[in-house]
Amino acid sequence: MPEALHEPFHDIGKQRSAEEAGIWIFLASEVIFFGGLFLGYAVYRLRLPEGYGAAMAETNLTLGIVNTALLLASSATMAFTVWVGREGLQRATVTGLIATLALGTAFLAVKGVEYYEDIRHHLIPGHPDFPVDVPGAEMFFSFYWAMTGLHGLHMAIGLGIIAWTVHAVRSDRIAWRETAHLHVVGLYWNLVDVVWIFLFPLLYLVGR
Amino acid sequence: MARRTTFRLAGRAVGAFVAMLLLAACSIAAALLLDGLAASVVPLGVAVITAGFVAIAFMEVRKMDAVSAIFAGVAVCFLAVLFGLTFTDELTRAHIPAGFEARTGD
Repeated sequence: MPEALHEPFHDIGKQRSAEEAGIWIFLASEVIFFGGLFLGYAVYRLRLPEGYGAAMAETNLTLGIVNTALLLASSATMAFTVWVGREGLQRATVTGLIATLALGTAFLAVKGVEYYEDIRHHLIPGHPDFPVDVPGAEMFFSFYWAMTGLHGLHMAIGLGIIAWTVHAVRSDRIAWRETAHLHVVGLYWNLVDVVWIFLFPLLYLVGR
Repeated sequence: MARRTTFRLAGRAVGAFVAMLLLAACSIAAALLLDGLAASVVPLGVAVITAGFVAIAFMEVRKMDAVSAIFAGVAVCFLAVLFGLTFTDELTRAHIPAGFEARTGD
């Protein structure tokens, strides 16, 4: 069994507290990072509402709904993982992690299909055959690509961490029962989910 | 015992998922069925409620210790300042009067 307590800590409670504080510092920086993108989106939406509305009609609502359901489900399986992890249930923890991994991968696969469709329809800012001739439409798609792309990158990083955690929990490579590892991974994953909760209405619903 | 705990916690997760799914359905229905400002405000309001639900039920923000709460609170404050200052400028800035551009072009 790996040692749970690490230097400089002499108390597992304080170590857990420091682990959680560390991820919250990171999440705070992520909130500001995505906040800047949301702010840019909002300012240009205020200035160019017609273009945003016309551009939004081109996004695929069905795939957006499917991805929302997948991500909300993955958030629930991640929470389940944290809860059963606290109870020390190894098999259920690994099952929860694998379910989260599968749902997250499905999200990225659906996003890939959507990107393929978007590229096929020339929904790329600056493309000579960009289909929406209303000022602001290309700006909408600039934010669409930037925001969903960066969200997808965060998803991919999260999936990598979860895949490693599956291995680590299954082989007892880390002291997952005693440390805050699962909770830290869960906090990251849930923040990625929260970002999508706001992206979905802004890119697929509001003003459609 | 372990099996019972697993099922109990799985039930809790499924319940939370169904609740979030219903919120998403409300958001979609509002955006497609309502007109005007309500079609924008309701989906965004539902998004805020769903995010709050995730924060409380999954991220367990009510159980976080003081240090973590300070970091999370500072992030929310900075975000409020970012949006507040930008829109204070954006919504109150005087528009350039007609003819101003012609005069400056002389």
